[in-house]
Amino acid sequence: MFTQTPSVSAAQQRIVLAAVVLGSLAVAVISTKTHEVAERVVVPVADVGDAPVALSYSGLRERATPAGSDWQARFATWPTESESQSEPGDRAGVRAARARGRAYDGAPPTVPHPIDPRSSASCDTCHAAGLRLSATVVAPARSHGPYPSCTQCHAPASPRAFGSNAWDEAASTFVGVESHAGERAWQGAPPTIPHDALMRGTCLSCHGPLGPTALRTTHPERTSCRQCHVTQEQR
Amino acid sequence: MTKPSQSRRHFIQGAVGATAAGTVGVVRAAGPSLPVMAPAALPPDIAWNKAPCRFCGTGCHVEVGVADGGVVAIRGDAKADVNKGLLCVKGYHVGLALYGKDRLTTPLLRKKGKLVPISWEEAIDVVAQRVRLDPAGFAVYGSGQWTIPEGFAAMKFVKGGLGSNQIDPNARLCMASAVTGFIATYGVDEPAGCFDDLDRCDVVILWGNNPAEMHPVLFSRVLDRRQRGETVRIIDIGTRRTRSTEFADEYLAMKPQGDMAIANGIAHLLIKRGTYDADFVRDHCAFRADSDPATLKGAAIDFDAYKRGLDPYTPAEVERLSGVPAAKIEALADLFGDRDLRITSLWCMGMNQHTQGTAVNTMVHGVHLLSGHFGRPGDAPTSLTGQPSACGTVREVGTLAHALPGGRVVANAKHREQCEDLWNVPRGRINPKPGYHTVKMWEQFCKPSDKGGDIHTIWVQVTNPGQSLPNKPALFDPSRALDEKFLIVSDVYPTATTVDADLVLPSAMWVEKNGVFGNSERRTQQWFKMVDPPGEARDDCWQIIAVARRLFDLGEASMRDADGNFLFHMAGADGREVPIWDWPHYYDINVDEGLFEEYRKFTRLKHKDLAPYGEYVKARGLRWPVVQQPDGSWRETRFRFAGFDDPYVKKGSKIDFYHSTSGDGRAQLWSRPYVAPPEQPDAEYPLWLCTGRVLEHWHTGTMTSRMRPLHRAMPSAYVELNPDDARALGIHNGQDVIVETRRGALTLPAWIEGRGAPEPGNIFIPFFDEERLANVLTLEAHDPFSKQPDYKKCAAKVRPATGA
Repeated sequence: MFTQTPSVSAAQQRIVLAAVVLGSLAVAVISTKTHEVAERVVVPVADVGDAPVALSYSGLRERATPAGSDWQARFATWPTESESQSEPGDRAGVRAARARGRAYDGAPPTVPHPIDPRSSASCDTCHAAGLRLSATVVAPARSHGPYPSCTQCHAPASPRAFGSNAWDEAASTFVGVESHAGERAWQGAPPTIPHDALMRGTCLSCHGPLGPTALRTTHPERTSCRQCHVTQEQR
Repeated sequence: MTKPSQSRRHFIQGAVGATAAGTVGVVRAAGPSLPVMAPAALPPDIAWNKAPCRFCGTGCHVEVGVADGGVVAIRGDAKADVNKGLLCVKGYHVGLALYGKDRLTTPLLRKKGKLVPISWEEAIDVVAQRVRLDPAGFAVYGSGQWTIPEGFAAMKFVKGGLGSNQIDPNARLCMASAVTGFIATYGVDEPAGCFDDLDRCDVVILWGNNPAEMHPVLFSRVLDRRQRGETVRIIDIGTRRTRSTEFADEYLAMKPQGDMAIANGIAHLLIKRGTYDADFVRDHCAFRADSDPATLKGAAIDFDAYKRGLDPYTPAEVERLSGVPAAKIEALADLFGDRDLRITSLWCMGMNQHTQGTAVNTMVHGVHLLSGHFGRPGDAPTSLTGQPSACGTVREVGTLAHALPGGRVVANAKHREQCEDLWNVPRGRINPKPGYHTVKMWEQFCKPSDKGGDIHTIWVQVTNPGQSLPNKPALFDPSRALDEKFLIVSDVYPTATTVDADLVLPSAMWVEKNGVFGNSERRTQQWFKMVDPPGEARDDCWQIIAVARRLFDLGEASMRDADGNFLFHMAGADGREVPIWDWPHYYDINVDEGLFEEYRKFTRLKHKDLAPYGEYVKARGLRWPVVQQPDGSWRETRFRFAGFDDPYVKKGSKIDFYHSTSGDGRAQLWSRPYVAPPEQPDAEYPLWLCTGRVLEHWHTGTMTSRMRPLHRAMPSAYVELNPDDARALGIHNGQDVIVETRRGALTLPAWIEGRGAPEPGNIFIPFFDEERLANVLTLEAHDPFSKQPDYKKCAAKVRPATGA
């Protein structure tokens, strides 16, 4: 008889490992950096070819340097669309940065870094609750419930094994819809939610403390967002 | 990558200006910013409409957002039963499929070796003249991506018009063995269960199946149950660890073709232990073995003979044949022997692209029937399809060389008469001799006419045989060197097929036209045209009708019905004929509705009843049989052959196989021996080669390769090797290697510990990449009943490309 509960799979081993590795890294980063630049939240926007992939156990054993020691340095090389490059609260800048990772407003964002090609088990390590990885890099919390097969909807960056990844920007003539602002019935009225709420029901993913300043709520203590903010159209 | 269009630029400039103004206020304010809404930033005016996704056979519904005459957004349709608002990475980006910059926009004719633009007038004439050359040698090669009306029109043109049966679809390469498996077992095609089984089952068995990548929405339907705290066990039987394996409770590594041994091994133990469902077998099953000559009906045998056939398949012997440990075979038999569990089997190309595809399909049905795991929600043997209308168009309309609409066959005189009457064509019009199946059609096209190659022209629609046929060097390339052979291709992008075509016809796609698809769970789905096709691209269905009309105008009697009217005569509300062959008038009426209503009359024979077109306009698809209720409403059927749901089951019966080949309401349990694959690794070619798909790309990649997010995630084909094999061969990750079989050689990068991990001695190549055509390597050996080739097993060798 097969066991009722799953045996510890390779994927689960990887989760544990990734949690250990990234968890310790995150603590280090937060404790040393965040207080200095608390307002400078950025959104990663482009492919990050040298971003780390969570290691397998065997990979960890064979690794010359301790995991994580080079990661922090690498984050500095991630191309980011920093709000610090414009005014804080620059909504247009944030929107432009977000648009770069999406085919249209409402499309699931693509993953800016390589991933474990076979498993999305380690995604939750950073993206379950969201994580500030460095002064300039934030791993956003997922905006929806815990769907376990992340790659079903989120296309990753090119696998490293294949080297360069040429794409002719002119190869597609698709023009996606852009994000837009909500509406207020009068000055001071709570703005409507300008996007679909399906798969984006965890408002604090973007509008919480880790979100870009321009999108952040002024009142994070109020947790029933849709008590006052309504979606613009009913599905 | 979002770019403002001309007419939207105004809105965006307004938004940016207003936001900047708002920012001034924010800077003055202390503390966190208050997002200030821009009065000018109104939401764009988007019209949302429903459509089934263009890609796989799951049949998710999407909502298509259209603004300024273009598709601008996609969202999962929360009203759809199939996907309940969720999509996969292909579905979310399906709208981009329309907007590759190299869309074909004008007909192209090869003149002095080069494809040059011509008018539609000339293009239609060229096709008509090729037909007139010799109608019997004019073949149509179609697709499971044809809409139901398109397939029906092509079928009527060839079988009801030309009196030929030379029409076959790419689905022959895809699910033909599933069809023969269903017919041999139940006497009628298509799954009895539906996707609701996935919401109820306790165990899912993946028979060589990777739904995490190929049917992601169905797989997440199972995974989401685990998130809700339910227990669903997933057992993955395969030759390669995949993303599905990562979610499986058990992975059973199998030797290629081991599936036959495993199915027999389970049946052997059910009999030996007495854990089979004796009541179900007594009441609902009969027994069959191969006849001579072999047919799908076979020869009746008794239960004892069936049992004797299973004698050799002891757990130890099954371990020897399949590589799966005997204890695991016993564990599988434990599961099937437990009637309290609900077990759903899923399979797709692993069991269908198989030289014993029909046999192994019947064997897996057999395991479910023998154990009684059938007919209750969650207990189902379910085959999945890869194309959006492989079921609707190919299997139901019947666009196959031997078939007629609604489950009929050309060899049956009564079926021919029924179709002739429904089409109102003269008796005797339909040819009783089946046409060529796909592999044979292309063989005959590649053979010189003076050496018996009697197919002179093939018209390809909605498919890419230059990339998807097996053994391309034998089945595709030779025809291109023969002057008398003429290849016509209707498509939306340049492909591995159009580059070698003599005539290219630019087609409208997906929401650029009206359509109806039929998915893997008997669900028929309708959508309306939402945007115009680019340039002079036109509907495939119009192309067929326009050629038919040209032949009619040239006096061809074949294009007249019994009353002398045009074969595709359609009248408007005023009773006057609408010239639908004249493109400006094609949308004067809904041609799809006309063809669908005509087709609907064919569907009653096999109890695959369809509702009127208007019902599908209102619904997110309906599963047949759709039967009208006394109050006039139309009711779909979820569980076929089950007394509690299927209105055609004999009153009072729990289960009734009402199309039984034994004529007594019973399904057939087949006695089948294990058969070794025709080509196996040897000293010269020591590895097993398997080909298949990846999540990001759909089939030959003609659409998905033109979508940046998908191309970015998977830019190139590769060969996956087992790490130990790679080490022994001195191959490292990313290195270019040469894969060679007896048919050809291919250079691609190696990927080790990548998307999948093959078992030792196995390699895997995805076939989406037109720069690296996997089918220069694959074998054209095919199943004797379904004629479906085996793309999953042949012998290969690998060496580093450097220093070669």
